[in-house]
Amino acid sequence: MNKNLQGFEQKFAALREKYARQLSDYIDFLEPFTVRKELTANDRTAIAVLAHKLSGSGKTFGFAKISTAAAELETRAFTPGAADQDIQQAISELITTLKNAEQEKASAADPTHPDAPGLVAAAPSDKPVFLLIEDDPAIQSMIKDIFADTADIHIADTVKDGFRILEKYKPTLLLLDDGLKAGSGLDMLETIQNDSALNDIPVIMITGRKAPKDILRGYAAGAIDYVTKPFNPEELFKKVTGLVLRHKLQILIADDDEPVRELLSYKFKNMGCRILTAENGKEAFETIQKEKPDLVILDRMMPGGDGMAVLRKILQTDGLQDIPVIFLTAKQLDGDIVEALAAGASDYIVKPFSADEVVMRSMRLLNIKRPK
Amino acid sequence: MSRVLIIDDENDILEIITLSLETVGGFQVTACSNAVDGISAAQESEPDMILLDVMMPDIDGPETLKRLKALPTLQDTPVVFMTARVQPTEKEEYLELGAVAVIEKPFDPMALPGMVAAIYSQNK
Repeated sequence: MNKNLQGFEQKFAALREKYARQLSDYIDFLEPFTVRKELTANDRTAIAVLAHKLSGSGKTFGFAKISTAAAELETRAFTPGAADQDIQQAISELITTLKNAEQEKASAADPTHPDAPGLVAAAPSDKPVFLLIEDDPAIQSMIKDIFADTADIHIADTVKDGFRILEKYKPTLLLLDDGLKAGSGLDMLETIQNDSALNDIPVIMITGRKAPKDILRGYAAGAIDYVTKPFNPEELFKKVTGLVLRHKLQILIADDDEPVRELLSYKFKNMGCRILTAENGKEAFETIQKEKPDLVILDRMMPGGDGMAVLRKILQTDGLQDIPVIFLTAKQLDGDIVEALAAGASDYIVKPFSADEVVMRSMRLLNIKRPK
Repeated sequence: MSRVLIIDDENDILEIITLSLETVGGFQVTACSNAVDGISAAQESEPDMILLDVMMPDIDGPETLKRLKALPTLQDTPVVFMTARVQPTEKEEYLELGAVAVIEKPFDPMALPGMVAAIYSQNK
């Protein structure tokens, strides 16, 4: 539900924007009537029809004042014997309301506009959404330039505004300065990590401090990477785009052994991937059906149906056959390996394993380069 | 209840109803911008419910409703009118024509799926 609503907000914003763009056509249609000496019966009908339409739609798109002004105009245009002047006055009022609505959209989209709020709203699109919390205007404009073509960037210069945007837009990535004048970036990071609705948003810290203990505190609090000022734009671009690409990946780790799930989750999260976990075969298959992850890491021996059974079910289910599966097992029997590969597993790793090897093999299967 | 057909001549309204019902409500939506397309889509897909705009050019909502009700496969499909600034007398008139409810425009896109589901459960 939550994931859906996130999509809703962005799409709603796009439809609202589109609606606002059409308003100039209505203004052009209405304006000539304000200077006519006389309104004919046909004029009145045309005006009333448009007013009816606007009264029925404005509020739906978040412009309640349009609905109110249009309803008033509709009433006057439909009232038999109403004076032309009264109708013309209601038209002028509706035009003002339409212009204000247009203006409202323009000011929200233009950060240099004097009416722009303390935070900069990015125009909605299919691009990933980044939130930058940074109070240095030079760094703000530099980062905006670096990602101008790849992402929609929201900028906040205080922790408080940052939280507002974070909760509203659930960005793909958070770039967070640890030296803000208003509020502590590191405290914010810790709060985010403790909030289950926000803690899967990857955070890259931006820092002017080079002391290892500051940086370690950031990593301990859940930052997945650090960028030190002054930074190289190209390097930041590569770091971030790789991360965004990998953040689209969802990986299921199915193992009954908690330390294994935790270790692999940690490693994949550090790569920017999103993680699902399952403790047994039944849970694993249910999660695969529901979430269709990009890759499955499957323990060979689990309670509730062993890994082989889960693999067979995946291969028998339409829409799931193409999901790569890596087997994980304590068994070191050649027969098992052959059986699993023959059954359709993409790869096979024997425990005890190196977590980095699992990550690398996964990335290779997904055809994604490991970050430097 | 899962499949809803919407007939409305305003494209922006079709888009926002589709977004609202699909994303918030999880319904399957077919959207048509005129009565002729709407009636043939209704015959083809036999939706669980039809949302119908009152004021449309050419064939308006009430006339569309009459044509839908004349089709044996659709005579029991609940039809809901959507309109702005509806007068109580008009509302009665629509219900007499066979609509099960009237949803008033402008609607709140977050609340619409709940309204639609409630109307359906009262009329199935």
